[in-house]
Amino acid sequence: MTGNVISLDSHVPHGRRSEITLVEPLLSVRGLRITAADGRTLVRDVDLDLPAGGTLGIVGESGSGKSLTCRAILDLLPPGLALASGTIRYRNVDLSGLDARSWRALRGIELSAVFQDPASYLNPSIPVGRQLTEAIRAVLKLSRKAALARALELLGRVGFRDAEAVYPQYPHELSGGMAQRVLIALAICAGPSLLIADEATTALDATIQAEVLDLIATLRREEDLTLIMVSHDLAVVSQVCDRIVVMRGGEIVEAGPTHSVLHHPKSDYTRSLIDDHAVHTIDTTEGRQPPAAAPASPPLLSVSGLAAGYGIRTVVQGIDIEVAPGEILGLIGETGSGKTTLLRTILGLIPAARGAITLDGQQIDGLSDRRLRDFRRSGALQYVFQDPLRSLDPDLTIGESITEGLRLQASLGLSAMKASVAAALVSVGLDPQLADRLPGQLSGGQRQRTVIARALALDPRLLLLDEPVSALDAVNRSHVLKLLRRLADERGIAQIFISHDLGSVAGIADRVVVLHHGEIVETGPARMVLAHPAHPYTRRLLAAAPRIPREAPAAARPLFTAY
Amino acid sequence: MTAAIDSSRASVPDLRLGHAKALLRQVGSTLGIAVPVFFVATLITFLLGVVSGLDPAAAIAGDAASPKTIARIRADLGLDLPMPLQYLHWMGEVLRGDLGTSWFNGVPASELIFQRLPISLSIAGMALLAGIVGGTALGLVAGVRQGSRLDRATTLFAAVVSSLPPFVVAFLLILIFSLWLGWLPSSGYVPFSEDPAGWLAAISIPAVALSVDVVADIARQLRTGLVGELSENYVTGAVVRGLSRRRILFVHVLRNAAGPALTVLALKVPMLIGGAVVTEAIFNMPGMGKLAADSALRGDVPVVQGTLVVSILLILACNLCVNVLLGILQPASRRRN
Repeated sequence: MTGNVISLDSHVPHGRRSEITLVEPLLSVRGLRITAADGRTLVRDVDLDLPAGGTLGIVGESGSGKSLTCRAILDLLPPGLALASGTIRYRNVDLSGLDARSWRALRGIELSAVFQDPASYLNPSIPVGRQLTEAIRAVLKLSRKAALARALELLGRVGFRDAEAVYPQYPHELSGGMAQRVLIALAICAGPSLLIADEATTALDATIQAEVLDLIATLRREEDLTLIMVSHDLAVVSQVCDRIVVMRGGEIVEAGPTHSVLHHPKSDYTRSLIDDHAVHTIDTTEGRQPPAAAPASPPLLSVSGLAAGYGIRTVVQGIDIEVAPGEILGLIGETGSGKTTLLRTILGLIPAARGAITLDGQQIDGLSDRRLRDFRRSGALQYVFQDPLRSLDPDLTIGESITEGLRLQASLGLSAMKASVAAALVSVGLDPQLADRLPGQLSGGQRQRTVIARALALDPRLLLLDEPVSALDAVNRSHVLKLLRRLADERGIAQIFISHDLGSVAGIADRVVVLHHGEIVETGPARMVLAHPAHPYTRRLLAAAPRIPREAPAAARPLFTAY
Repeated sequence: MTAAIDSSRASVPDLRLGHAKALLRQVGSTLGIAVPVFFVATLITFLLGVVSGLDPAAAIAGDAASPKTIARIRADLGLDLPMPLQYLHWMGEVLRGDLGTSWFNGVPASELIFQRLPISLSIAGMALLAGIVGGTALGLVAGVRQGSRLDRATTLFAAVVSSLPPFVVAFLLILIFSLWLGWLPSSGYVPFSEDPAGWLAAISIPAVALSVDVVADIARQLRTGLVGELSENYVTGAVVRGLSRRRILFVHVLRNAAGPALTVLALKVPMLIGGAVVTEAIFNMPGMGKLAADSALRGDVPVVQGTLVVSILLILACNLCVNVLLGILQPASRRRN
């Protein structure tokens, strides 16, 4: 990735922004086409125009080419990918023809970017403040003292109350939201003209996401930034951007002002994105009617008085939950609230310090190695992870991945095995012919269905789902959620569903449990909790969730007036 | 302005103190391992002397000595005591810096060893230096120009060289530089204090012969480390910030990529000290390795034990240095402890 940055010399003076006329687009992309080394076209015919001071949102699911487009603008395409044709003009410069030396004069000074998973974009071994000072000195040629002063000022500007206390911290000592603030400080340190925010708030909790979005919007106005905001979440983008581009499969399917894209979508895909968002926003929760027979049926899973943690640190405590067959329990809470720890304890990956877990009357915590293995092989408890790409072996076809668990369970013949794989794929709405594909050849939604199919092949009683839809766009999210609901209703598979995205939970859960600092603060039927939250923490979570503006968006967004 | 957030739970001095404490903890845990290792290794050293069954009393007393004389000499040497007491006695002396006296010429073992130590340290130290410099250079080039011809050449070189024992390399180097070109002496040693140029000429062939293996291993580890680190997000982040390629490589990537190479380096130190025995024999240099070999042949237990104790100390010191260096270079790794 560094193969394209060379030379160490001075850069063009900056700060001549005022001379640029507003008529001329600041950034203009024409006929962009990105191909992989094996000849596959990943992005085709992308045209973008962005006037100075404008805000452009690019929406699409993972693999739609939205991030690649941004990377191409920054000349940061991953190894093996190349700009096959098209032009990228920034001001009056054709970026596709730039040499490394000229690039250095642009990056960090004129163009800058923030990304998803912010802490990973900071050197883990250097205190964040020093990285900030370094960047300032690299582009602004300030003295050590002046750079330090500017660094502290910037840390203050991005919202740190005590900048001096952040300065000496290492990236791993910061929370995701704090790291993103540091990254934003780094991005704006030289007063750039164009900021690209690539899924900058994606893995953050709702409240933190709202704060970071607010920060980006504020800085955009104060620093006169032109902004490209990339997200899989239409709601996030529509909160900040004037114009929206919707991408799918490497192509632009729709582009236009936010208002008209939201209210008069031209393509079916965009319409389905909006509709699916509307279905699952918490505002419109018609909610699930509580199943009539629910109280009567004995619980499938029952957790009582559970406490667990890592080493001497207790992460969750006093947990009492019950899940009936065919019931979906939504588990809500912010990062660090103990959601994942709770699931992992139920799964037996973390020993329970106190309390008991029973599945179908059988105690499943504290099993001996051998009995634990037998229990696991029974396949009664299955887990679906957040990131489907990383939970599938990239070198196994999805058919092979699904078969793996079956092999352990029973000695099936080859044809019976094939039939099971096909049945599992069909049950998640995938074409059985996909069994021969590798995970890398599938879309994000298809991959997550594969992971669910792999779990279903073992005929589980209880599915544990850890943020199963948080990386998917609204359409895929909605499909996967409907699939999960159907599995619960038709096959009676109980599910515990973790999400920081309240919309997803609202759409399918029967009951929700709100977890805060490792303890349950609120629990009840999904509809009741989301409509009338009792606990202040739940109310705060609900208020921070991003929404697609209803009518009259211009009035609804006084902060982000059009340029 | 957005709502200010609490940047940390701790104040600045507390944070700095925390970071310093983390480093101290790491040094402490390294020492916590080094101390038991020292005692186990020296115990083995001591037991080697015991199981050798060598008894110098008869030889020292001469042919005509009466059993009484022999018994007296044994008592003088402390050989009549029960073994645990002998060990405690020996360990006490070692901790006080007394490695015992040679059974053959009555000279203190420490004196013998410290006469020879500069020679061995010259060779091993120079080999280490050459290994670090050469290995780092090759590893950097191969890692940065990943997949290039240079990268493949380095990998090939590393594979070939690590299959060659040092003495084969030594003979090749003697053949080329001493016999054909006549640039360097094929044997002998000149102290640095007498003739620095001569010293360098004398040790260069043995040092280089010992270092090729280190060069190959460091280059391989560093290459792998660099390739991994270069694909990390923080490199992309640094590029976006407009940092120079050189700065990204040397300030940001190298320190994170150096871990495996440094660990391998620490493992190579015993090999260098052990290799010195062979090289000193080939080049006929009166180093510590030669002293150990000669003493072993003569059955001079205290001297052999002394050289082992000194080697153990050298190796532990090197490990400690590498661990401290790693702790400074990669503070994040301390968190996992």
